[in-house]
Amino acid sequence: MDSFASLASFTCRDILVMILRKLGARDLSRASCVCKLWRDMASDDAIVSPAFMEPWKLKEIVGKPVSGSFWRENGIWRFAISHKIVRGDSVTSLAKKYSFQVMDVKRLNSMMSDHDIYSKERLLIPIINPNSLINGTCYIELDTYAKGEVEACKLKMELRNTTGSNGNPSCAHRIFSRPQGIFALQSTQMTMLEHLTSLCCGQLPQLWLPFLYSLMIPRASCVRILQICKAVPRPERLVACNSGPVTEGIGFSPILDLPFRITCYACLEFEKSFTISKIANNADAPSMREKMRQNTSTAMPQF
Amino acid sequence: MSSSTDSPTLTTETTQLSPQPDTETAKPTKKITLKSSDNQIFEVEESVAMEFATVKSFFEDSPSTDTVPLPNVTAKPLSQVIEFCKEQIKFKANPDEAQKKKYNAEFVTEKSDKDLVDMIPVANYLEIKDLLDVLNQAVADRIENKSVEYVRSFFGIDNDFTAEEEAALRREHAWAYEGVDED
Repeated sequence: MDSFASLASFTCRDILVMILRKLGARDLSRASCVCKLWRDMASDDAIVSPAFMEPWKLKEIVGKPVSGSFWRENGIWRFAISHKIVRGDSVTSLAKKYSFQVMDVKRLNSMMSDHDIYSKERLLIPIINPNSLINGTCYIELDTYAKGEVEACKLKMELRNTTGSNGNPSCAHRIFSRPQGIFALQSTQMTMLEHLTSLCCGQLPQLWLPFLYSLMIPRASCVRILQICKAVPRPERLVACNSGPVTEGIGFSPILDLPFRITCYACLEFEKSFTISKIANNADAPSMREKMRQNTSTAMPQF
Repeated sequence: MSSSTDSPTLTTETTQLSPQPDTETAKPTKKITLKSSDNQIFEVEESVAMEFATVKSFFEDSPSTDTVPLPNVTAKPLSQVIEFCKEQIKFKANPDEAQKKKYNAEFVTEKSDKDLVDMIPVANYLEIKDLLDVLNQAVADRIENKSVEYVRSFFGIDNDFTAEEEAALRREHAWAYEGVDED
């Protein structure tokens, strides 16, 4: 009798919806592993998107993400203001206007130097004050700027803010979707940096590019950098959450002259599409690896 | 079942506890009889029964009846729901948000997981919105940051995934498994 009562009710949609509505994004994600009905209900946009918006008190999110995984992580780093660059804008003038750290913006926009701003239509500005999201209307958009990555593994999405009545299109909030696209590493013989180099055909979240280039890690597929000793002001920005760790190690950047710790994560969705043959196709890979060896053979500590 | 023996005493107890609304309104108390699926009889005041939207509409349709059969409701959760509604009527008579909140919180914290889970379908069936909200929040709080296995046993849900399906889902949702509480 009792088991019947609870069985009937918690496989009943009306009640389930009411409970799921009270859960946060993380709990919803786990709830979708409970049973088939729960999976269908808990991954419904109507349930997931309020859970995504709740912590930031967003008023509305317009648009539909390409993949359900979009909703899973909702750190503030997922949001950005998209500033339309007009004549006379420079990194320093914008830094003053939005009070951001130049380094953060460069990383977010994959800029190697301040001059890169002139080749861009829009500049993404990280949101520092969460209050600016309160009651905001956000648009989900594909990040055209990172389109290659988006198409490959739906890396980034953009949330653009219409900023209400003045309709200023130059201001947009954007959301990155969770970086994906790691594949399993087989060898444990290679050093950490070589692991990463061998991943060079992978899809790298755009915002890590300048940073990883600076570490001499070309196009590493998906690394989770747990700690970067003093190298990056906000290492959490670089954290990509994914499946269980494949390999972990301490690295040393000869350029930055700093040690760092890296965990590589495997994501089985990409095991099939990423094969070793792809590495051979990447013209950069062999030369970079060679360069790496020369550069790091002396400075590399033991792993 | 043990509930069949202890629930009638529970109701008579709470009936004695709540004479205030009636003396205030000074109306003769009309009693309504509710009959649970396991044939327990509950006599409640009309004001309490009218808190149940389902019972209310039943009376609107057929005013002459004096016993309302509740075929989807067993005695134990029903007695708890009646207890809750009696308190709510007191709060309606003299509103005290803080006290009401306190009572609602205590009402759910002292209940076992099973009691809560059993009460939700009853509250849903009887359409008691306030209670449903309190219960759902309590359940959500209890499964917050808990493992999938815990949630399944909490609700008594059978895992209908194949091993492969579940492994794939867990990989897909791996980020949500970090830092989950011990069961």
